[in-house]
Amino acid sequence: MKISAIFQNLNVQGQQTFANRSAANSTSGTSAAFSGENAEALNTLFSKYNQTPDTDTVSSVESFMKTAQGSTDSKLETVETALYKGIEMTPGNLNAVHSALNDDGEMLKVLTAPNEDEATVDKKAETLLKLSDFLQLPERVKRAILESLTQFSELRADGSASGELSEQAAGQALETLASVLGTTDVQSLLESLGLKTIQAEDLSASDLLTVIQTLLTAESDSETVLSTVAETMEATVADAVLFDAAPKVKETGHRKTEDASIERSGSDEAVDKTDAEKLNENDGETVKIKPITERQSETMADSKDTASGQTEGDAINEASEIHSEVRPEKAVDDTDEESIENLVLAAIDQVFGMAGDTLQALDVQVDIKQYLVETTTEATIQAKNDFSAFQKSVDTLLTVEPESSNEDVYEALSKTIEKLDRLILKSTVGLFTDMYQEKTLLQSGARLEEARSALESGATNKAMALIETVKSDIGGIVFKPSESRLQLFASFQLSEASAAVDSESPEKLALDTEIKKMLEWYKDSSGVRQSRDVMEIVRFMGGNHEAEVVEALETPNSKKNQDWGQGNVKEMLLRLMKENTENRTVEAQTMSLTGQQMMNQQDQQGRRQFHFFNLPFEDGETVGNMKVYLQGNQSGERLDYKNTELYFAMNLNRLGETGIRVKVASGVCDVTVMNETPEVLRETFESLFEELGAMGIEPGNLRFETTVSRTSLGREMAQDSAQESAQQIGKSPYAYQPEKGFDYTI
Amino acid sequence: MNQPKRKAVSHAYEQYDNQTDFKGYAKQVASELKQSGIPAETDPERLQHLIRNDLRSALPPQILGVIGRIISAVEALEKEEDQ
Repeated sequence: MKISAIFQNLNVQGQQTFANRSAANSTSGTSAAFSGENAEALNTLFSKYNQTPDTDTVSSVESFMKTAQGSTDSKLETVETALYKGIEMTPGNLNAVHSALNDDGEMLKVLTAPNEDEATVDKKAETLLKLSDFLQLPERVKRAILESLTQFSELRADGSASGELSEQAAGQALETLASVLGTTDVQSLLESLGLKTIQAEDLSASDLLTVIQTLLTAESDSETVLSTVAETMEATVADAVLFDAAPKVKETGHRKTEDASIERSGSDEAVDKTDAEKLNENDGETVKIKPITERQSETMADSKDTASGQTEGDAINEASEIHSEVRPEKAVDDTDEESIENLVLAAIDQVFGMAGDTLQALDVQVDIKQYLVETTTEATIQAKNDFSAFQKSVDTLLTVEPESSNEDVYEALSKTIEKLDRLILKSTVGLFTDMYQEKTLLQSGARLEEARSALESGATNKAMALIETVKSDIGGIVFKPSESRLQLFASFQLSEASAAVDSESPEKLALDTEIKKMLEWYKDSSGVRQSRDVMEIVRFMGGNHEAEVVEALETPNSKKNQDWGQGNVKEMLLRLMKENTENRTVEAQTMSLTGQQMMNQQDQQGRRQFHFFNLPFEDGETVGNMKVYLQGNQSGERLDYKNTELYFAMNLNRLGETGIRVKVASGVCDVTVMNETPEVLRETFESLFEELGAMGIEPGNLRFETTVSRTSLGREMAQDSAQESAQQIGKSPYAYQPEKGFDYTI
Repeated sequence: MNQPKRKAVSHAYEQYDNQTDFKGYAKQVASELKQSGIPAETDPERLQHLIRNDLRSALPPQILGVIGRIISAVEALEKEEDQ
């Protein structure tokens, strides 16, 4: 999506606003005009926003146009963004915005790259597992390889004599694999697999590499190869544990979610029925655990059934049905304090199981488990009480007295919506809310919006009916913290405790670990990221840092004010910069984050809002970067979600350049998915599309477009000469050009 | 019907909304930040644009929910392709 197209839409309603603001935003010095090769384009842009630059602004902008990296188009877009958002045109501000808009995620990759000096047994095991996944070997063989090589590595590291046996076993297995096939050119294969970190002297890794090469170049029948592998593994790694009924896979942090069902095998209570069935079905040969993606699809399919065929009338009664949906994980059904404590204990046991190494590494004298139980229980009980208070408050607000005027009701609705949003996005309750509770709350919010619209149009009876439905729905919710959310909360507490007792310098706090951990945490047990998760990711990346700092400063006697620290990426980067001013990557990433924050400045007077985020996400084993543009009408202090447009642009490791456009107009949502092979994305997005309906957004049209020609054109356009760009702009200043509507240069 | 009145000022900075000297407030905040040692942007030129954007108040949960679903779908697809 070309950002100019976004502004084209924004300006339909936005320009007048800027005309009104021009007195406040225009520079106070002597007015001046641009000169040089970009003069026409720049003068046109400033004129478009009714701005007259002064000499300082002209100097800053011209300097930026000359020195900043990137195409002329991208720099003009930066200037336009600053103009639109009313950002002061200083060189620092322009560079920050430019950096955010053109951040291709490379810096994030640098920051999240694993530290090669810290190769551990776990890391080796993880690499090996990755490789065996790549090979798509049978589960049993994969586990055998993993287990034997992990044992081998551990024993070898300990200098244990018995390590020789494991080494021999692993070596034999690998040799058998290698003997079936042939091998050459290790380095290029490594690079093509993105496994540059494997060291040649790492015997087990190099052995496995040989296996990979041989498998890749094999002309042998794959069944024969795999059969040979299995036989060899059984013969040489004759450890019954490997082939026991219960799978035994060493748990690592990165596999926490995916293998949750494996980890839970020891606790009947914690195993959901589906996974329990899978475990019971195990015949001692092969244990197949459904990957999270399949489980997610099932959840989506369930939701699809619920949402399909929904009509306007059905929607009124739907929220109550949501309560009867089958929850995929254990939740508190009886919410007395004892049952909360029991659930907390179960969740913390899980956290301890997953954080064994971390705990071992901590040289602490305090009883961390007790601390976690206390803090998590306390927070959960507090959340339960807060939720009860919220329910009472909503009930009071939405109880319409006979003498109430429509204005009174409208105000009560607005207050309830505000309370609801705050509950989801700001309160501790939101941290414990599972997908099903969130759906009910989002649906209620949508109905309250609808009731407000009904009041405005004089449909009082409809408004009152909707209000009664919401009262009933919210009143009927039983606060149910999900186990995965409790684990998340406890993990945070553990992380904070680790940081408090760990004397490592900030540089060793390792942004990579923190970002990956954060991405792993902020999703529910089925892998879905809820609204609160997204907000927490934005906050973790520092998108709300200064706003919250000021909030803390403005709050008298705030606890935060006395001992303040969010532990977010912005804060970490600022600390790193303070300690090491020479680190250009850190400096550039800080600037990019700041630029992003500047673009999210709220327009206090405008009727349209524009936001921009670089959001990290899990792209396989790496951290990807997704650009998200939002623009929409303003409703009170918020973006009007029923009239909003979103663009997602990303370059995926496997699926390549992908764009997703979501347009919500009058509450009806159209989605366009753009990719070179859109069919691959169809099934997932069809499920997702139906899922939107359960969040109070009515599904409209779902389209899939092939983007080959568009992306090629986008690249060509990005290579336009400055003169051509200026001429285009001069002819039709930032007019919407459909053929440029999908440009990944931004 | 009439829209309800705008809510009362809840943040100190809001009193600057109708003034041209918002940077003055940013300078004051920057000074406090430097004194307190809290890690945050302290350049008033940039800071003035960072302190009016509490995203928890600006973004509706429905839109964040849509973003979350799309991220999850993309992550699931990539994981499937990886396997």
